[in-house]
Amino acid sequence: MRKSRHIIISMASLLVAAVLLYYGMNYQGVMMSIVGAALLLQSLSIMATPVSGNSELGEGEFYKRIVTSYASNMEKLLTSATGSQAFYVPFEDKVMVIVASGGLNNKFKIDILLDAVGHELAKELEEKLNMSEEASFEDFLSKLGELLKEKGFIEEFEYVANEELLFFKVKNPATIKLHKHLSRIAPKTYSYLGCPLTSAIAILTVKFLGESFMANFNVEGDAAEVKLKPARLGFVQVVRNERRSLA
Amino acid sequence: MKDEVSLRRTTFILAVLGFLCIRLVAAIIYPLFPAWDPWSYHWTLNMILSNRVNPLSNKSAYYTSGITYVLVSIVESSGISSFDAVKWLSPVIYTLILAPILFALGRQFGGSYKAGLIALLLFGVSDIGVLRQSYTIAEGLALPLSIVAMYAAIKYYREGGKYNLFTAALILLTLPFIHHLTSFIMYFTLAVILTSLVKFKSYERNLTLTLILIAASIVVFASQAHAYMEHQTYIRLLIFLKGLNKSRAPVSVYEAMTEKYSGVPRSYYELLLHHLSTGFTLLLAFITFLNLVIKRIKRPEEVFHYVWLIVTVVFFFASSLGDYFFGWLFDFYGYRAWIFAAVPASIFAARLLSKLSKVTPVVVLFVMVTSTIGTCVFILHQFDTMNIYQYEIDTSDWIVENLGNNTLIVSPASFKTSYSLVKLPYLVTVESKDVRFFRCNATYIGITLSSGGYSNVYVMSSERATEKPFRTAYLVVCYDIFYEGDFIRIYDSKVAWVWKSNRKWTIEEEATMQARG
Repeated sequence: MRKSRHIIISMASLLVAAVLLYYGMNYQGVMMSIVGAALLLQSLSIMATPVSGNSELGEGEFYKRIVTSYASNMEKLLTSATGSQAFYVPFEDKVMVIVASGGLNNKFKIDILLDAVGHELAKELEEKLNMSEEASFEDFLSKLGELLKEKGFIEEFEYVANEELLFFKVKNPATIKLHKHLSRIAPKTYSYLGCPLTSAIAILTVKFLGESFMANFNVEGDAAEVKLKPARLGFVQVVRNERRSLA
Repeated sequence: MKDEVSLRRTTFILAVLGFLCIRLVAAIIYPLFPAWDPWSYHWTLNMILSNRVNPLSNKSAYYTSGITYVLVSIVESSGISSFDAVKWLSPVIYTLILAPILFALGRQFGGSYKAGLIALLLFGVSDIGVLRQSYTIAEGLALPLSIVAMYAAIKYYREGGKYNLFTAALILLTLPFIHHLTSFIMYFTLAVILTSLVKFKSYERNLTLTLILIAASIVVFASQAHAYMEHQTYIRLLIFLKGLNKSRAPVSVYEAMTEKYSGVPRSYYELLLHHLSTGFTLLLAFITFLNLVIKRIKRPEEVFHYVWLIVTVVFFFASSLGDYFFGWLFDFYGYRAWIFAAVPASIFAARLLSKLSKVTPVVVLFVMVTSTIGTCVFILHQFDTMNIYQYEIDTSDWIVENLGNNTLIVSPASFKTSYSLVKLPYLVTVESKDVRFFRCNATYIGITLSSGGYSNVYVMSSERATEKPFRTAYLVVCYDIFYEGDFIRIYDSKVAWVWKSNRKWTIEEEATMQARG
């Protein structure tokens, strides 16, 4: 249905473009020629897109649009928080994301407070992992990697852990398309919140270690990356801002 | 939070005030109408305001635009002269429209309040921006409106909304009646942008904006704008193609960039100083541009800015190169395309500067201070040079008061070498019933002078005639003849002179003079 609508629109555009080009070129209509050429290229591109078969029409596209809409709005909010960073902070039985700016002398000002995404998945994974209190961080990571592979969520799980940085590389996650899409339409939102899968990994890590981390999500080719840096937050001022506070 | 908001508001208001103040420098230092090219803009404006010519019904009024005319008419009713109103209102109107939009675009692209403020300040102290917005000129008004149209188009593409669409449509359809080159560049840029935006698959918004461009192209085609934007383009292209096979030595880059100035820079060093702001802005914009290419453009608004920068900068460089290689065959001189590149370049540069300011605010301070100094020197030089024009008017007044009937006054442009009596050079703007101003050319001056009928023959001249842009390859005043006993100087105001001829010449003498010249 949608495909045929696109074809009808592009055919009509093609016709208008031809008329514009004809009159433009024959009667010294410079602007008509330029606009006609632009319309011609647009209609050809529109025609070519559904034919290429890459379009995901139907239910998947509908959800993608909803995600896009949320991400775009979130992006506007986060963009307004100038020079900010995202911190994953354990809070009671949850992990909160604090978007804070400043950073001078390790003192931050909270701009936005959010629930981390992927709590449901994190809860499910936590139950499956069933880690004992004595378990080492190394054990936790290797178990987590195995569990994710077993569930078919990822292809490979690599990590680097030291006192200054925790770095996770998730190869071919099931949500890779979402990663790429989010990082394209809402780069700042993606770098702060990741996707439900990578965010769940960050939540589990924060919960396990019980510390606050500065988080950054990134996508490189077919791999998603999570960087967590230990952070000592010295909040000097908690800002109440109705427009920004979502939590 | 309240403190922060009020601090931001104060900073923004201060930046807008600074933006306006630097645009009022010309009006302050120049007692008449500031205008880059006094011989055409001043004359046209003078005609419109003196004769109350409605700009909508007269194509010469093109230079002032209808909006300014209406505002001037309103202000005039308060007792303020139309000349003063035009002089002071123009920069204020340009600033009020442009400043908030530039700030919004800079903030949107740079992602922070600081980026918006830096974009506003960068264009605020831009040499070409200040120059073209210091006086009443079509570009001055068309540019801010076109930027509003661009902002509305970006907003519509991102968020939709009938008001955004309506604003973009209204301005884009009105633009060709304000200034042809601005509308041409804006349409061309938008056409390329919309073609590039297809990859985001918002087909409906893409085609809706294209529909506005289609309507605009039909409006252009069916209106008087067609003559300026399309018919003349063909004629110029034809002249250009015909002239391609003729060998023509390229002018220097220096000449290509400065030929249209009122006050020509005296050296490369001065040229560099005057245009520090353009140098910094383009350099910083180029770095941001590369950064964006490497990181890949991800958002539609980035595509808008990215294509906008490419199209306008390419247009600017192509026009400058055209001047360099072919002289002024085209109307698209480098200097005319300059201001269009300055806007997106400022927005790009602001993005980088706002990031650099986190590392060290000194960089921003350095760029701003040096650009402001360079631009101020440039503006002072331009408009101070133009003060000479006032001396010329004083000279004209002196002539009208002191010279009697039956007097022939020859303007310096009379010495232009021409083979046609019909193609006479510049008009002389001084008017008097008793004094006849005569325009002729060097070939026929002898015939005129020897034909009798004039008791006195005077030549009005000025320092300007010896300088660019009046002293060019096709206009040379033969000053030698004044010093060979044929003329005596009877008026001297240091920069303008009146010469009186001692005797009448014969045709043979004239031919000798012509051969010498």
